[in-house]
Amino acid sequence: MLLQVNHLQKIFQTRFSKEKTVALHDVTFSVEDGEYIAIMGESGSGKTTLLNTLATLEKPTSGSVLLSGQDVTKIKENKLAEFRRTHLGFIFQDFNLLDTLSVRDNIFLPLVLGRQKVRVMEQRLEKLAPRLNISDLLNKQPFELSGGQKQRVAIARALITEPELVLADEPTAALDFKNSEGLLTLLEDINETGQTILMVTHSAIAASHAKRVLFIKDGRIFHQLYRANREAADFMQEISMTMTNLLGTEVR
Amino acid sequence: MFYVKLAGRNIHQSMSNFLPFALSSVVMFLMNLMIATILLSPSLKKLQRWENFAMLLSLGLIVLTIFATIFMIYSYRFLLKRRTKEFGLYNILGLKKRQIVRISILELLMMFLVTVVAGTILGIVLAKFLYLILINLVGENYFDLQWSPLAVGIVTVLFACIYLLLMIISSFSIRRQSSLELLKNANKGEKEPKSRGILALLGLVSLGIGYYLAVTVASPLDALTKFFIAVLFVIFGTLLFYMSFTIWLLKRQKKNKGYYYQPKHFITVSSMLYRMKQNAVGLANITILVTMTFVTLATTVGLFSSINGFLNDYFVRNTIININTTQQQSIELVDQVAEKNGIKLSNPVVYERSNSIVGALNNGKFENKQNLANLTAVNFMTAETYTTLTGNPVHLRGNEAIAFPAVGSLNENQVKFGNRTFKIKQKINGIRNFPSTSRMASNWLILIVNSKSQIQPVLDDATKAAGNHYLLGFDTTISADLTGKDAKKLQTTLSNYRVNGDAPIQRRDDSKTKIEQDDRGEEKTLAGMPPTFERYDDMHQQLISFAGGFLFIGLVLGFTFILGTALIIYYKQISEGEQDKRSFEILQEVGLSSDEVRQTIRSQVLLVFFMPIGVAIVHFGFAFIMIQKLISLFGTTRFGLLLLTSIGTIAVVAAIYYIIYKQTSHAYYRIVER
Ligand SMILES: Nc1ncnc2c1ncn2[C@@H]1O[C@H](COP(=O)(O)OP(=O)(O)OP(=O)(O)O)[C@@H](O)[C@H]1O
Ligand SMILES: [Mg+2]
Repeated sequence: MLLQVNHLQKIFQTRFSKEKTVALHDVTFSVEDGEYIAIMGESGSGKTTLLNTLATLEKPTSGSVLLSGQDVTKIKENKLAEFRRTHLGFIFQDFNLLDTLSVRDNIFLPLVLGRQKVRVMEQRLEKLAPRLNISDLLNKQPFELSGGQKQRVAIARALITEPELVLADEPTAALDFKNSEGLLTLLEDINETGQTILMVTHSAIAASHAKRVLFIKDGRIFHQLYRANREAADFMQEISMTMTNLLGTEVR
Repeated sequence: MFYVKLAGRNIHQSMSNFLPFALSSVVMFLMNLMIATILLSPSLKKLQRWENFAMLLSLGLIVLTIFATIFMIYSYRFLLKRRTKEFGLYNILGLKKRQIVRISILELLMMFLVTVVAGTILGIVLAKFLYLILINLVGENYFDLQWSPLAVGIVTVLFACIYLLLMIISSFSIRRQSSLELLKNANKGEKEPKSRGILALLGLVSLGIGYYLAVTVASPLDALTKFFIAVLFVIFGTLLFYMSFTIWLLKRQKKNKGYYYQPKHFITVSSMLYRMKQNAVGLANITILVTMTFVTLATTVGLFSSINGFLNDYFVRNTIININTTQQQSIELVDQVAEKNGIKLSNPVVYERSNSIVGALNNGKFENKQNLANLTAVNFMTAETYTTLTGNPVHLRGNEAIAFPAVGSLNENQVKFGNRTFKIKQKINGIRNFPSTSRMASNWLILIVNSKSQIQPVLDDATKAAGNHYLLGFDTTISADLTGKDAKKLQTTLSNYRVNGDAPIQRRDDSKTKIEQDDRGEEKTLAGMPPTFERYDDMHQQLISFAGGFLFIGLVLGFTFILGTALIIYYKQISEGEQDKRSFEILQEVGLSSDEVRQTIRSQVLLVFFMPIGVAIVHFGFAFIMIQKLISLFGTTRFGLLLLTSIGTIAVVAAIYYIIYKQTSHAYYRIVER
């Protein structure tokens, strides 16, 4: 078992008001090595909060998150950055590329921060770039790229550290239909090579590319679906129905 | 009316954008108004030598106006840039460009009104305070400063012109852009800057020329003319330096992979490189402003503080009487007059020397030609006089001479006057009871020789070269300590006598003399002149009022420059903070610890802090040579003191700059921190 999430709870309390928001009530689930999991829920259901907690960007109010047996919620503040760098890869909704760096340097960024040798960095990129179809983009600046290209660069940056777990927060939200499809297939391919991926989304189409879908509502996991050997289109039907029936919301 | 409301609401809502602009506008108005008020106030005319101040103040006003114009444009463009997004939104929501322009013009009008009202009120109050500083610096008594409506009118018109310029700039820049551009402008991507070798070279060459001009200045007058050319070259060079040379350097660092791909260098080099292009102009501005502050303050403070030293070198006693005749005749005259009037001369020092001959001294060869760029005055003194003055016996044989290069230096071991040569047996660096500084020329050499008969032919040659108007001979200087009352009495009485070289001294009933100067501007060589009279207190007062006026303008300008620097740095920090905010968030998500973030910020901030200061200090180092020459134009050449005051000034300005930087850095941290 790669990831084990136990009774996770997160309560937000803003400094200026006494009002408390319970973003995560009691979340428990586990992820096997090589899985591709989508977490679905409507807006405000706590998806991003969950992901940020797994990503150690946020500390939970209570509960534990075990990655390969290590409780990440117990890691000291000054060790967190290093932990993220070595064990996790991130794909964000709005790509989060640095304008100041070229595409190549954006991809190298986590390795540079990890003081990796230049030779190793170049070797890894050489293998990765053709798979993501970004070989021609390496010397450009991020502002010269399209959304789809940017997201592929972001994926390269997430994968170059060879992380145990890739976390993606609505990676297709800023892309058009065609680019989304391409990206989702790409993520599927990457998962085929054994990379574990955990993605949060509120799009049924995006979720249908995963092997398993968890549904979250009001900070609780309350249902899950397995894709088994179905086509993505079939799987999407079931996801949509589940969303409409169980959550009482229409899904796009 | 709708537009007026909209404009008013805009200003109110984006106060944080408008505030720095309003602040710089009011402060610039205020500085201009204060100087104009003092300049136009009738109180100024109560000061002695007020024409000098009026000229200095006018000069200051011109500099301030130019500075205000440039600075207001800079501030306004910053404001515009931050508001392009807002304007773009208006455009998309259905306002025509013309209407947006109208709004921005209305906004400017409101700012103008605020500036005039606030500036005038503050100006009237603070001008009095500033005037008090001036009065103190020039060592006068307090006169009340009257408020001058004319000054307010003039400065208001000046600023109306500046605001008109801003309106034109605003309408141009709004009309030029398409609505989508307006929306996107706020976060436009930039291509990594190209390194331009030619520009880098040009920048270095330009700096080199400017520096070379500064270093090779030979004389004060030379310095005055070369100064502006050198300044232009240095400004141009600085701009190119930041625009190209630093980019070139950073690019080279980036090419070195082993160096570049280290966490420390990676982020700093890349963001510096990214920023260099957009901020080269900003950094150059800061550097030039800081240099200007250094130069202005160091020059005026240096001038002011060297007065006492100069006076002490010049006045062996508190009163110096110079009589253009032999020692014997002079002493007779003064003794007789003093005795008759009951005047007491304490600690008298008397010596006789030749009239000054002024010309060019090159490679030990003196020529009777008037080259303004490099004048040397030479006085001769006999060995006998020297021995009486100092008590040191000297033995000079034949054409041997002792040289005292009081101002400037003498490197050769002989000095040639036409076909007469004096061998320098010894160089000394002071003569007891003899002044060691001159008010006349940039170089002053005293030669001590055996006898008058050796000197007279040289003087005759000089007389001939000057057109045989007056005979050059010997004059006598009597220095003594006198009470103020005695000095006055002696001066009035002596002014009735006419002295003309060896001719007998004559007495006249009218003390008025029609003073004609010879063509070298020297009065004492004139036939039939009364003895000249110089008093420590008079000259002190005169110099203080002159240097004090300078210092005053220097302080006002220096203060304004520092303020300008502060605002530019503030703008830089704000805009950089906004750009970097996202970057640092991303960096942390990808795996930069908060300690590393802080380190990175600090090293970047320090670099941007030290670069302008460092470059400015280098600039100043070269300017120093010029400043020294310029100050010696007013008769003072005290290297050590000038160096000390310069270092002090730099330290003070750097400290103020640091405080400004610290304060504005907070703005940066506040934006970047999450
Ligand atoms: N920093 C915070 N402070 C206070 N409340 C927060 C904070 N972050 C999130 N919340 C609250 O926690 C709840 C869950 O937020 P979260 O961002 O996880 O939702 P989400 O599922 O990602 O929604 P979306 O699909 O719109 O992105 C929301 O009610 C939100 O208001
Ligand atoms: Mg979210």
